[in-house]
Amino acid sequence: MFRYIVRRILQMVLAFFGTTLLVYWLMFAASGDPIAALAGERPLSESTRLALIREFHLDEPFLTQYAYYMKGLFTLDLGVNTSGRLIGDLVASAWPWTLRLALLAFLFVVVAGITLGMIAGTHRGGAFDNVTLLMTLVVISIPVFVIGQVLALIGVRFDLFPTNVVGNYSVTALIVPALVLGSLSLATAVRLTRTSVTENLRADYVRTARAKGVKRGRVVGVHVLRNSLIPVITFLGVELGSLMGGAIVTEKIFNIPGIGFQLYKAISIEDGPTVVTIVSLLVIVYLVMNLIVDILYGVLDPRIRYE
Amino acid sequence: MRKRMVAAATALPVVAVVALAGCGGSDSGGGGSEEGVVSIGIGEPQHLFTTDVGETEGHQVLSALYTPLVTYGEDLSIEMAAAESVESDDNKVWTIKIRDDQKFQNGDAVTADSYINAWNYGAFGPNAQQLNSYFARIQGYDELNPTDDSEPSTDKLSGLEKVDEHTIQVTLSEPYIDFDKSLGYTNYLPLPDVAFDDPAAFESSPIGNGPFKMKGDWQHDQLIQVETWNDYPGDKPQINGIDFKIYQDPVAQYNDVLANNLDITKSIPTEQIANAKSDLGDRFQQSPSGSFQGIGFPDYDEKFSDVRVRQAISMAIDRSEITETIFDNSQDPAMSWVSPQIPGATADTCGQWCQFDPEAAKDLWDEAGGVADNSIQITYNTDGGHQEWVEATCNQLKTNLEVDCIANPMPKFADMLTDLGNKAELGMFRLGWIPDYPSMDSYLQAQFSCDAIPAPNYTNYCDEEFDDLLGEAYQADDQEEAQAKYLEAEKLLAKSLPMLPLRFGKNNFGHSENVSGVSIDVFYELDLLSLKKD
Repeated sequence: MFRYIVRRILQMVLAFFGTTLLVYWLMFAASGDPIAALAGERPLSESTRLALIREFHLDEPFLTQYAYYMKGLFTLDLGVNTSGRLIGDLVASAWPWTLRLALLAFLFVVVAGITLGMIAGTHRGGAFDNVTLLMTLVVISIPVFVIGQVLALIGVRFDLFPTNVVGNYSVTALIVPALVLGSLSLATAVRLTRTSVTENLRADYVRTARAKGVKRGRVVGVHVLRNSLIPVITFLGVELGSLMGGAIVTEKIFNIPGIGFQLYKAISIEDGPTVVTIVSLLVIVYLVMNLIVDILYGVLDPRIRYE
Repeated sequence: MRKRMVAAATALPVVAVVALAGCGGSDSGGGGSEEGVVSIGIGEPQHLFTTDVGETEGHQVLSALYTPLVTYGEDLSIEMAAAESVESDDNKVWTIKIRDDQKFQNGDAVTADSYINAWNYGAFGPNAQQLNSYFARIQGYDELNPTDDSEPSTDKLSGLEKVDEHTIQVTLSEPYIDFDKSLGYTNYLPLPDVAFDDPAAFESSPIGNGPFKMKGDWQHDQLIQVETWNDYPGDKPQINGIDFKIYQDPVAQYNDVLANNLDITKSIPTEQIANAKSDLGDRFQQSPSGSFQGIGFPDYDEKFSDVRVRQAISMAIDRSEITETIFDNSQDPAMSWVSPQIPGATADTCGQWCQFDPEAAKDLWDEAGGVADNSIQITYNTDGGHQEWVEATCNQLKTNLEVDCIANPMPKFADMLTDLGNKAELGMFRLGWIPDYPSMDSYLQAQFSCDAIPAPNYTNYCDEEFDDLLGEAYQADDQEEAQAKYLEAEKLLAKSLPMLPLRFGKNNFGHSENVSGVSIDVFYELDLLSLKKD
């Protein structure tokens, strides 16, 4: 197990370097003139332009700029963005917002998704099952920004819940955005759990357990659940990573100053260092989540061994 | 079993740490506002260091923290504020006397050095300040801004001289009659000595000489709080403080005003204007703005070289139809290049060319022989909400001139500028402008003089007679004479139409039920001293 973890970590390092190089190159190739992008409709004077170019090494070849960036990364000097703000500070203040939002959404998906899926699975073909399937279908087909805008509109018109998270912060303010963010994953989690549960209910060991007189609740809650969770855990693990990166739309609608929004802003002003830093961070999150999921695999299913 | 325990023991703490890191993170400011505190919605400023503030969000915050040398009255005439007097005999050498009761919020006196040091800092090329070009008229600017990437020979403008503690003498490189009017802009604000020790740190809690002072630090993307400064020597505000709440999305800002969670939103997105009138009732207000929208012709494009083609295009656009249907009258049609709000400007310098006359347009168009392959395009940047009106304009040209018209989107204004610089085929392109101070020159020199090529004179218009008229205006003995010359110069634009005026904007703003006395001026500045909180 230990050697497995070490091997995985080495692979992560490789993946990390590969991704940062790729993203850095993409930003480099795609950006027209980041200084002009900064200035907007009023141009900067020639000397200001030259000073900024010198400061950000924009006149040097690609690999030199990349080397500067990596050097900064390893000395934990993440540099400044084009407004002169420390990227480290920017990420540190935006990160907790996204984390709180994503964790809340994740919790919602786990609890509601698995519970609903289990009930639907054990009462397959019943009214509950059909209603759940229909609702999940509806939720999957409506884009997240539509759900978000509609809920925000309802919140304002009927004064039911705050729609501006930053200005009126309380944990309850994050509930609706978390619901919106988690809605798509919820639908998939429910269906996945349901399928998994129905499949396992027909397995031989369930028949044996029931024949031995084990109570239905214990059969389902202990044995079936454990085995059904394996595909769901894979999905949920990866989903947490994408919840963090994909919260851009939700963050914008509900005014949450998180990572997603900072990424969007950085891309629109062609702020290379910020984009690469945030994307690298998200890459690390994905890789770590994948590792955790794989380890949990081993915990849940004793047939799986790692060396 | 052991292995599974180990695995579980590894996985769970990692998840727990990640979760705790999130929960233990920074808390927000905000919550409800206190007694007598007005909340104003803004976007996140780029900077709060005076010579680096090039956008309106930062301006609004600075107008609470600082008092400029001069301000402008209701009729946009100049009024003394931090300055006691600003005078010149020849429009070239100016003497500025500072009021001796002026202080900074940290106790330092505001002296001639406070201004001279700030202006030298802003004008010094290597400091890369966004407002650097605003000091270009002062003698010595070129030495601080070599264009060949060499080191400047000095970091002090030779045109700035300290006469005594409260008097500055400014020598311009050319006479400029509106220098006193230009002193109201952000680049000419004073700075205390401590600002230069660590400008980045100073930005997070700037110290000014104005009616409000910072309460705490700048909480990025969340909130900037200011409170009334009791030792302010001038007119005191009628409120106790301001919370500048930072929003990413203008719709979220508007929703909060509806719900009375935010007191003032300075702008309302165009799509919401129709709802705003019914939702807000008399809490929805409009006032004229100096902002300008137009369409420019690149000078290198052969298609538009015949002036009759440009005239035809201008007459074929129904400006009122666009302002009524697309903008719901939240903007006004423009028949001139300078906003009629500016002293000396008139509303009709464009004359017949801006009057909608599709028959005359078609006649002129045919007379000139139309354009090659009978197709034109209008290029615009998609990040400014321009798609609708550009497409509508294109449709009008298609109908009225029977020409093929394509609306060509580009992601950003900067991309359009790059293409212009490379003489790419853009067709016509969308332009915007906002004035900095109430002088007609604020529209004319920067966009149309030969010196301003290639930026911000994006059409590369260059006419000796135009520049001569501007020069005569700068040396005029009084404002009337100068304004007459400016008007004459503006009329030259109607002869060659390098750029078509389309619209002047309006401020469309709203406020909650708890605040009154809300007004926004031509420069998009909220009048903070007239605000009252119920």
